[in-house]
Amino acid sequence: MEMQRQARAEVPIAFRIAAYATLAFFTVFTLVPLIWLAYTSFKSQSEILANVMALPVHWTVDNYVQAWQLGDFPHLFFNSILYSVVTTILVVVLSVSAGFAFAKIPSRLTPVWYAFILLGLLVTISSSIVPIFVAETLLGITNTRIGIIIPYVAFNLSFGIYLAAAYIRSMGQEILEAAKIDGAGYLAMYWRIVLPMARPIITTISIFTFHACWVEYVLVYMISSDDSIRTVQVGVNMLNGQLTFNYGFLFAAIVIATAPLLVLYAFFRRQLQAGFSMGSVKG
Amino acid sequence: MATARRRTERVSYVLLSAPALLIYAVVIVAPVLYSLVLSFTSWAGVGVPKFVGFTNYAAMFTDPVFWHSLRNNGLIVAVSLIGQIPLGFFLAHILYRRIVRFGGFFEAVIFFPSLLSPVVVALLFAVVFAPTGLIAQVIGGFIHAPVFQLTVFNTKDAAIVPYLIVILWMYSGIYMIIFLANLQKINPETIEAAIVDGANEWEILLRIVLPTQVPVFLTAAIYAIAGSLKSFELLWIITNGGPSYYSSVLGLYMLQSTFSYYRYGFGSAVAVVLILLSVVLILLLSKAAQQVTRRYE
Repeated sequence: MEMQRQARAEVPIAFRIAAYATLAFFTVFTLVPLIWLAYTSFKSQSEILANVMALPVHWTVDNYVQAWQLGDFPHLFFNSILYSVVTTILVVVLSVSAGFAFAKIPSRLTPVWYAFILLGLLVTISSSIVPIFVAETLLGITNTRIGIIIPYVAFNLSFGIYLAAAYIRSMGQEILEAAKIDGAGYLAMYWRIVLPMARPIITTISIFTFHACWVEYVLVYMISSDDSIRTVQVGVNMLNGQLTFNYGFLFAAIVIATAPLLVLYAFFRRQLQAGFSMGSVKG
Repeated sequence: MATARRRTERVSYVLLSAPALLIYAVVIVAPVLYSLVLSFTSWAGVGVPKFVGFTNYAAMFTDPVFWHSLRNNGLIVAVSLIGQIPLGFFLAHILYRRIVRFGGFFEAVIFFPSLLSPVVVALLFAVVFAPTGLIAQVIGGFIHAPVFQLTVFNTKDAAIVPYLIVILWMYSGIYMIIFLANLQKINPETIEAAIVDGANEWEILLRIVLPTQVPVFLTAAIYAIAGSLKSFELLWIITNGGPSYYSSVLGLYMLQSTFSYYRYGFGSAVAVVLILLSVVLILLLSKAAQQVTRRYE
């Protein structure tokens, strides 16, 4: 029988207290605002005015009904999903193909292109919103869906290529060599070997890109003068201030806007965590 | 034969990598370079930009709003360095060493806020910190002053504080996740050997685990600096830089100085400084990180 690793270090009492205190404090700090938000969204305006912290006496979904109607949510969801899905597909295709070229096709230019692409990790849509806005104005694509999707794709490419190239580089050379001997070209290899084998990293890139598009706000806000192309994030912020001091209404809108992220979190927490932790080693 | 092979190799390379490189160059690099040109001009968005030399840069560097925004960016980085990063490390270490039960639950809860959209978080905390918002009403309830107003954050020095609390709330989980991923790389046998030698948890933390994470602290610092310069949407919605310009940061300064007065040349100059600042700081730090990593590996 294999020996079990059972050795435990002594846990000094001060260490135990420090550990529990830090964890307990931070968990409470994280949860209190969220729980307050959740139950306040079921409270009537008069109950909120009477006591802002109390649990609802009469739970009501009126806030949700009102937010759904005033917010034009079906339309906002349609746009958010459209931009996120189209961007994700394009980013995956472009990053995996470029990542494959950089990782497996020998070329003296690869380090140059790779460094050039990685510089993109240092800028975001927000930090270059003025250049983008000027460029879109000159091209006349402000207030269009194309004007949203193209920057979304470009600004997610660097990270996608970074992840894809690292993953494909670690893939075994043997199977590619075998395919080469069978006469397969690089494009055939890409389609038949790399894409299927890269599925785990494709999942990570997809989830990460989808999330980044879903929460993006600055670009859509800046270039959309028309309600019809706005997203959930911009729509929710526009609801703010329509009904002054009506937290219940605002919070219901927030919960509606956040529900898809809860689903994403429930199913893909590991991929999201992987994306965030890999995002930090890009230096 | 070999040259034909070489040629198909080249064609495939171009076919596979050119689309991504082109989109990247056209959408990210070209506008940034164009801003560099615009930053030497005076332009209101229509007509022909007028060349003005370094006027925009001179105006920016003598503008107190610029320096106050830069100071706020510095404070945000400081909160990451002394708050989020050590806290994230300690939380990760507790979970990694399985000191407490239900580690998975704590991990899931603490990471969760970083996935929320900045708009949603900003709207929530705008209500919390508003002069007549949640905190004001709770305090007012305690001291029986129903019209109590929260004004401590209206001063020039303290206006950024609510935002610092919000980023501590929202993004500490990311640092925890970063450390958790890196702690998995420690060879468990090192720790077991130390336990056999009688090390307690303090000694494991300080003598074994902490030294292995020095490079991670540096990459986390890079992440913090990049984050501070890259985003401003939370602040935009919570305070809009106010009262006056007291809670502004460079990103917000860029946005407001461009679009409030249609000063595209000036705004481009701010954008150039913002982008240069992050590129230079991060390249320097990552060079340092590489040196340190080499020493520890």
